[in-house]
Amino acid sequence: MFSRFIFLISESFRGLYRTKLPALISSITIAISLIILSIAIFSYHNFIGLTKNIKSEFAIEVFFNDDISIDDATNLYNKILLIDGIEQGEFIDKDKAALIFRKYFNENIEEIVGENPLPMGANYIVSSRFRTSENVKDIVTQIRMLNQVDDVLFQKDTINKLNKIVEIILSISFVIGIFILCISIILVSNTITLIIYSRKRTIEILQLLGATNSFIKFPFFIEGVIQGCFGSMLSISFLFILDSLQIYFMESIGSSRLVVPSIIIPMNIILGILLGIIGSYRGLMNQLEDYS
Amino acid sequence: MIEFNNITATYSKESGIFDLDFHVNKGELIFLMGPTGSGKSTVLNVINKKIKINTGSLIIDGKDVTKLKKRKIPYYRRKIGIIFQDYKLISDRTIFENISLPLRLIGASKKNINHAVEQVLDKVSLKGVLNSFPDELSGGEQQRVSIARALISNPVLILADEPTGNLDPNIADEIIDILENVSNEGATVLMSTHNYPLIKNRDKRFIELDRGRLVK
Repeated sequence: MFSRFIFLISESFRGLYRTKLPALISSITIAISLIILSIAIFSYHNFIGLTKNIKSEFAIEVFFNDDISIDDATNLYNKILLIDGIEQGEFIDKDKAALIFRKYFNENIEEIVGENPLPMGANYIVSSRFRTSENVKDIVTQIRMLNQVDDVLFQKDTINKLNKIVEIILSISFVIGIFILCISIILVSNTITLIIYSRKRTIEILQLLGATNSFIKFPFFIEGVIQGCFGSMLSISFLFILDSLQIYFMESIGSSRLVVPSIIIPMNIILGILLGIIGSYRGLMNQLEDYS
Repeated sequence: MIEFNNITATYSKESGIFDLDFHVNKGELIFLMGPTGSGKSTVLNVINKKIKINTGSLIIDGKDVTKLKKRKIPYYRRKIGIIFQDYKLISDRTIFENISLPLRLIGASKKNINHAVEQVLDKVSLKGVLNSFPDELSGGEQQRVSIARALISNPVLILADEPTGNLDPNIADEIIDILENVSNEGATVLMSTHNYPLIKNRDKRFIELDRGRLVK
């Protein structure tokens, strides 16, 4: 049993050596797909990270009722601060509200109206984990249900726009990813088909001598796995080079890392092997049945 | 050993074998005679389960193999040694690798393979070619390699499809001598040929076919 296994493994390597060029092309295709996929996945994550970092777009403005006392307003401010998803806040008393009015309109409200009619309120920043349209809406609903709260404002449109952009990027990455995966599966299976075709006579002889289908298929299957492994090694190497270049040129602007070794290595190896296996399986299904 | 019971196996309405009925005894060397297209190869292909049987039954070594399941065919073929007119050697494998293939299929150990190859080379009188490639050998030597490959797993039945078709008369005679020795050792040999002068002096039974039908 063991000697048969060793024989089949050596057959796989021998087969790859005989068809080095097509095998190398499909490994490179696998590598290219993995590189594009890895970059797409990290771009998506980085974009999400970027949107979550835009604190100003996730600010909530709360206006308290006119008749609220300063003590009640402070209590209400603290109560809102305790709501899940609120990271920090700033209490706005009547004087501060007047200052803000002056800053925006360059006028003194007390001189215009004769008194300060502006309500007390507060500004809050949503914590990064809660920076989605749904979560912000939930927080706003919770604030609106509180007594003495007159109105709550937030950048609904901007958040929705950001969400839409994230969704579009995700969809495009998904479509491109699936397309590239399909191409590499087709290329691997074409390579296996070519290899099978070049060994048509050998396969026929083996079958006449009593080789089972699994005995004949196994080396091709292993060849697919090796192509996948080699492709993933190429893609990992390329991504690490890209990562080093990114650190060298862009570290100063604090860009996020392209390669996270704990994710990129297993992801590329698993995906590479999977691509190789699926490609081989497809090639075998297309060709080998004809010879049985 | 081989029982052909009214077997019909066809490629088309006109080609194939029709209602063939004959028996071959254990340890017998028997010749299948007939011109090209007479159905000699079809008989061998029917036995080797390359062609389906339409009607009739085939008994090999006491077992009915008429409707053998597809997945069992490889294991059945391992009990048969097969020799081809065009040798069917794998050109990028050494002679040692070619001869040892049937033992590789059953997962034999390296030690057993080496021993078996050594023994079988004696039977076919081949020496010093183990590391050569098929194209480096003469036609006669290649056919001996093909016979060695067929014999290495000690099959009970050997099918030889025109094994002398591409060889000089002297070499062809030597090949038939080897097959006769194998049958003397107990294996049943069914050899097809269209070369009557080659076998007429051998005191062996033969089956004559014409257009897929038994002549005598």
